[in-house]
Amino acid sequence: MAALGDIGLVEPLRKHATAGHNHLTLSIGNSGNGPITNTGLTAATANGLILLSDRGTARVDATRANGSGIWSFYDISVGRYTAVDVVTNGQWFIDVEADLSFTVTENPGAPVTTAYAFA
Amino acid sequence: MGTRTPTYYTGTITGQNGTLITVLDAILVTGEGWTKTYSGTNKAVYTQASGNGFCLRVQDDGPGAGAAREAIVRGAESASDVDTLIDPFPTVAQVSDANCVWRKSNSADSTTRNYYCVADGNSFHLIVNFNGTSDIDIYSYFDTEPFYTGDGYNTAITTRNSANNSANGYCTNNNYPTLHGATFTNNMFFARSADGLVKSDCGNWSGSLTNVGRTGYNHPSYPNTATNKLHMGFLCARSAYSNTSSAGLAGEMYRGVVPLLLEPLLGNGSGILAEGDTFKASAYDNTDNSLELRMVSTAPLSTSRRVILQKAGTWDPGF
Repeated sequence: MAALGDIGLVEPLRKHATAGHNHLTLSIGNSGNGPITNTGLTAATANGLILLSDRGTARVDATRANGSGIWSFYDISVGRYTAVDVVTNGQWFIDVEADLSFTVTENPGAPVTTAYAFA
Repeated sequence: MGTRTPTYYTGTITGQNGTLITVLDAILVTGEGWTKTYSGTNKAVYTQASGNGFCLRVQDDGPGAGAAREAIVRGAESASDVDTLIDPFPTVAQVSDANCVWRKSNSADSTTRNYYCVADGNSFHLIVNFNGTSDIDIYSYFDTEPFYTGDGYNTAITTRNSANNSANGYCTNNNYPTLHGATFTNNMFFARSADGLVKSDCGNWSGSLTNVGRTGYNHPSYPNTATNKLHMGFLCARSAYSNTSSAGLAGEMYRGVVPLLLEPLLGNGSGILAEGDTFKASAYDNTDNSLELRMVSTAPLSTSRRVILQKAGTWDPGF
């Protein structure tokens, strides 16, 4: 052990906390919630929505939050995510901005073929 | 919100009955004005001198698998005698007495082990070098600096949740990365959820991205190449809003800042830093040697967990 003098720099709490963890709730609905309604795509079905991410942190809640088609996503950071309905193969982009606002749009290329094994 | 004025304590403890009581009597009662509300032979219930006024029960008569190596600990909102807790956290159903322990030593004998502690009127962190080769675990009981007005249940306790286990750092197993999802472990408990509705609410540390005191592979080590400094952050605690390791629908929220500590924001290694180094961050607090680095694992520097005890000066989360 040694006395090292004035070597420290304490980062402000706000910066540290927001860098570590963000919590955001998004909605994808089948009856009037947001842009998806305007896409003409078949709605996301219960027990069928998964969230694709190459950032390794985002996830969708384990169960559908309610029967009206509201899903919650957690640990979202800035960037684009893709939600896929593994039953209908409908696909949506979720673009999250720096202020954690977001937009949801359809992927015009969908439906696509997906394969997903539930562990 | 508030600032804290920590006091630093260090000494030795052994794997004999009653030694944790002796240490906590000196730190909490004599040093910080807590009340020893109830006592028995190698048992005590301590009540916070400030904050929520909640209790910590310690049973240090070697009742578990670790015998005198370990003491049973449990928080509670109050107590009616030395064996009867009211609204305990964790509950026995969550963590059995056998596992709800703090380990004092790997040997049930008079071999001395070093401890290092920071404390104030409602909080303390006791690091015990229970195997004699490095700092091994951090035992905590604290009121967070809460983020939510009206959070009157922000008292938390850590437990090893493993009986007679010589492994390291169990109390910091509840680190951010493996649990940043919906899963918590039974290593930290709040008295209740912030709204008071969920008693003995599971919690966890929520500081860095990888382990407490190790932010990840790409984070600068010390010295930071941009600032030539050791960067530190405040360590927060999260609440599961649940009595189990699965978070409830209102879970996973930050409850507040863990007092009296800082977290070194180090990448894959500590650079030239070593166990027990002291230093200051003058822009934060100008008290010489007010901060002390402690390893809470004997793992290699690349994976060990680290905390910084604030020994003196003013701990100030800035809100």
